Amino acid sequence: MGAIILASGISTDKSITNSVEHAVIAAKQCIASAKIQAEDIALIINNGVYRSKNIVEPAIALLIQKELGINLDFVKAANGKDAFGLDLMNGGMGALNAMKVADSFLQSDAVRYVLIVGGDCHPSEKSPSDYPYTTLGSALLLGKGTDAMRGFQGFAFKSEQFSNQGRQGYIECLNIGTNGRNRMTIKTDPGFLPAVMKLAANTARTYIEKNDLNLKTVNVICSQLGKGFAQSLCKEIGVSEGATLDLFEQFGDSHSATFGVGYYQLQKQGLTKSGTQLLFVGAASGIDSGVAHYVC
Amino acid sequence: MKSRFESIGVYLPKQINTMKSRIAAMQNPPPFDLEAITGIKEFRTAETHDDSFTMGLAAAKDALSRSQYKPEDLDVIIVGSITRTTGGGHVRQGNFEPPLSHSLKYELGAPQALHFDVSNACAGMFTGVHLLERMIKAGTVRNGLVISGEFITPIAETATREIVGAADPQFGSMTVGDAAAAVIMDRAVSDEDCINYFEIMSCAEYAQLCIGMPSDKTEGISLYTINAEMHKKDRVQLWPRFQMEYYRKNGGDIVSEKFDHILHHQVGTRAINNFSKYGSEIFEAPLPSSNLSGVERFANTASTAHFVVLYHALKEGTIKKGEKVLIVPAASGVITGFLSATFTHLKV
Repeated sequence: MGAIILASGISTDKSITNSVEHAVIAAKQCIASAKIQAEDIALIINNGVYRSKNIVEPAIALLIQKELGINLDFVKAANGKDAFGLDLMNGGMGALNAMKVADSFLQSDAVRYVLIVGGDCHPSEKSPSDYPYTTLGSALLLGKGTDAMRGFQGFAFKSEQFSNQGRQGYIECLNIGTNGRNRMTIKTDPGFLPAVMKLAANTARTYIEKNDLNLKTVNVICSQLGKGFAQSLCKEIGVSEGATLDLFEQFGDSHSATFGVGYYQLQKQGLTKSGTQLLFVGAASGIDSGVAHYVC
Repeated sequence: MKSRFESIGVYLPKQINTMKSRIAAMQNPPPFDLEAITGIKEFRTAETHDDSFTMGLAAAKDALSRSQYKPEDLDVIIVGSITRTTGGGHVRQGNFEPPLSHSLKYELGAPQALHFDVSNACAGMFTGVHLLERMIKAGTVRNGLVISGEFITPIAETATREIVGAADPQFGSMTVGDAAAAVIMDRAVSDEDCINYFEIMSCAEYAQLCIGMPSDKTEGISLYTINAEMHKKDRVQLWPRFQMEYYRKNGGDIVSEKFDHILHHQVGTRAINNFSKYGSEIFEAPLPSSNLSGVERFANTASTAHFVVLYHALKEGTIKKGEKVLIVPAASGVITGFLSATFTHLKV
């Protein structure tokens, strides 16, 4: 049985500048909404890429785990429950990889619940003009499905090589002085957006054709790489523009948080009724693309 | 269903440096004998042109050279290093996006492979192994390659410049060496070569005991560790208590498992011995006297440390056919766990 999404949460308060804080707020909302015991979450995957002060150790997932108070000390808790946190990094579509990983863990009964959190912030916790992402957070809680017709039905990933990998986010190791905690260079190749849109559309179309999905009933939650990106991507895929939410207008490019934000918005609008066909379509640097097929 | 390490590869830079020379380079040498405390005599340092990418690539090619799989057979490639540098030389950069696994898979000739990076301090490779093991068990992938290229010695360079006083949080940085490792995993075909079980957890109460980030004092990357807390007996004993709980739920015990070797994180010879001693107290049983170690020769190579030692123990015949090894991850977070593996035909 494919994993199912039990709950979602988002954090969008613009006064919050730290990705961990956003992820924690989103996760708390998500856990409360699911009405589960947080200690039953055994896998915490953070997809966030950009983080405060450019911390590279420990995993940001563990800072989030700590704030959430999930199975913090195996011995002190004395309940026999443990959790494992990790950062899974793949630009703006790590969440799709995380969904596949979570689905594997849940299918093999390795864990009861998986928490996937996303969210980025500039290392300086400011929003310089050359930083293309919005600082916010999202969370999805996944559990094991009991109905083969519901939950995650399949995944497809396809990448290509592209000039300068489309987009690169990095810190210079040399000649950065003592300001490394606040610096981030993000370079975007002029051809990135059209190329990655084409790749993502191809990946989605191939999946749709292979699995004989009805284009008229498919809803799309996709990466929001720019104004109108979602609508153009839908057009390329062959689904109507109305089949997707324009998250960019409201949230900008929420990068690693996008899929959680999208699912939350869909749920809020009552568009996740039983049987609804959803395609999460990712487009990211590398260049990379992915599809997660989900039935509500 | 069990999985196995189908192949293992390592890359060690040729340049060998000594702990004595590292200590001599310190602007404020410590009042104690760091070499005697850590047992580290020498370590490798990446060449100028090396970086996490080139080193990881070399280790992956080494693993592939002894594998039944060709790059085009791989279902997934996971990179688990702390350092994600590319560029080498004077344009070296630390990458956040896209993941190193993307460029590595193309360089290896595996464009079909699913790819992503994981970041989990010194447990990065174990994190990749954990995810891959569960994915193989679930049948969602058939095989995969976990890579880590650790170009980690820049934190030692920062430490030699910045350490002041005997309690400085950068002393842990003095113990690192550069190395890369890679493992190919697939479904086990017999119990002669398999991962018998593997569990790992993060006790995030201690997430802030070890933080890696750019320095704000001098130019460079740095690591700040509260060593006394990180390696405190209670922290170390999270592992045996976790393993005992596993046996309580699944049957078995440390004695009947008859491990031939134990392999700890390579933070220093004294610490390694203490890990076994503290573990033994909780298990109320002796642990294998064969405590595999490479820290004297390679230092602490971060996320690759266990795998570098495992590789050499297999190559040098320390691990003999059919022997069982208890591998104990340990990392900032605090992350701990236990991996039981049997090795018979794995060639290096």
